Amino acid sequence: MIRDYRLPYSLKEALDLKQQFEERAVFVAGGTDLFIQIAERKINTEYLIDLTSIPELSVPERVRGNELILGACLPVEHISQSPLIKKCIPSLAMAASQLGSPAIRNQATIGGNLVNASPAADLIPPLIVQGGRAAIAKANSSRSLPMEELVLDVNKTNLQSSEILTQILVPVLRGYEGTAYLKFGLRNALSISVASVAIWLRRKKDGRGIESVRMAMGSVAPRVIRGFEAEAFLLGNPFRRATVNTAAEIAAKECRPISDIRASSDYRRMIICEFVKLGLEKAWRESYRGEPERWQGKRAFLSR
Amino acid sequence: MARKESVPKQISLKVNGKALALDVFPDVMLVDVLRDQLKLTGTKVGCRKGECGACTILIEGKPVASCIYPAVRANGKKITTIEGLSKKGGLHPLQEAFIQHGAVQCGFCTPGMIMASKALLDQKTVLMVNEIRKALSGNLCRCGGYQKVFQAVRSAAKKMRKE
Repeated sequence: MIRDYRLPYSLKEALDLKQQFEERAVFVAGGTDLFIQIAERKINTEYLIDLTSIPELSVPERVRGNELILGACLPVEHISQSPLIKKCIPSLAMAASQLGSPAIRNQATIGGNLVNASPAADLIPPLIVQGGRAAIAKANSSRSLPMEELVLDVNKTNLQSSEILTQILVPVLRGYEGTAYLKFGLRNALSISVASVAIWLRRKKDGRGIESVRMAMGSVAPRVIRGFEAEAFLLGNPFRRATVNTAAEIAAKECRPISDIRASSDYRRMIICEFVKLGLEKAWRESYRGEPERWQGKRAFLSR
Repeated sequence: MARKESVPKQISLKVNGKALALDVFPDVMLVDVLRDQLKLTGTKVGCRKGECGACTILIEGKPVASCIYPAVRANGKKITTIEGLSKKGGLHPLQEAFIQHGAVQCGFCTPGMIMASKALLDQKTVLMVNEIRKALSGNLCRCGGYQKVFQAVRSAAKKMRKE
């Protein structure tokens, strides 16, 4: 039973409250997942510490060096509309625009999506492939870790119960780099992802292939996973349609989907296969953005 | 339920332009405060999971699912419910359009549809149908009334453009 609901106005106040109430309190950001879990008695707590009134956690996106820094309590709708995020982490803005519905996006936060750590979390794959990091704070210390190490298992993160995710830091998208994000759901909105793929690649400057690639797959394992074998195959072979097709098949075999009420594991593998093909093509094209138009016409499309 | 063990919180907010001070329990969602304490029963409860849109209201002009929005967080905010749309007893262009276009069947999804539409039309009135679909993507209608709803929104937008 909830005894009290507190809205601290500073990070220090929030951490002090947690020290005071210890395991009897839980942090909440937007709450669009948490309040449902409390109502379903999946989570039991006496005190709620609301993080959405803390300015340090809602710092608008800004560039520092070669990184974009985002406050963890920024609403998902803001992330989907921000011109700076669309420029620096386009696949994150794309993923954000497909999360839930407009009303949910106005309340849900990027930090909440990460910390809830659903295997189907929309915002995790784009952050992984673009090399994002999570900044975490507790009473007297802070740390940061790569996005890939944040989620351990279904609804389970690396965070201790006394820690707060404060910021997300992502290297900005540069020239010769391209990304893609694809989500498959059973509806156009209010749809938990059935399978999703995020891709980031860096094209060789002479256009003869890719220098580097990262692929993340969502909803096909207990947590978002990288397609390491598919990535290795792409790097070891000339970048053309046949290579892309084979890499897609490798990715489909690499993932570990389950069958549930939304889809069978076979169907999920099929989606992953198609999405990897589409995603690689799109990311390759995006790597040509800003280049002379005549190149975009000829080189930006995959050769057979 | 041991209500006496949880601490009521006082909140100050504006609902449909009226300033209010209320005591709310820490586990109560905004929809229940609106319906039970303020008797504004135009806002409906559908799923209690934020997944159907029947409870959609506007907070600072933005659509929010009031069934998963904690009442305590509403402190200091400006809330608009369906009851706040008609000015001086007249109907809002959206309400008129919904009636004219047959966009109301059982009417349960209607307040949510109208609030989500209002959030859109208060931003822009020159629209493509896709933008209406996206703005209303969080509002489900079991009567299947979507087409007429989109037509009504388009028509209201046209009317509001002229004003």
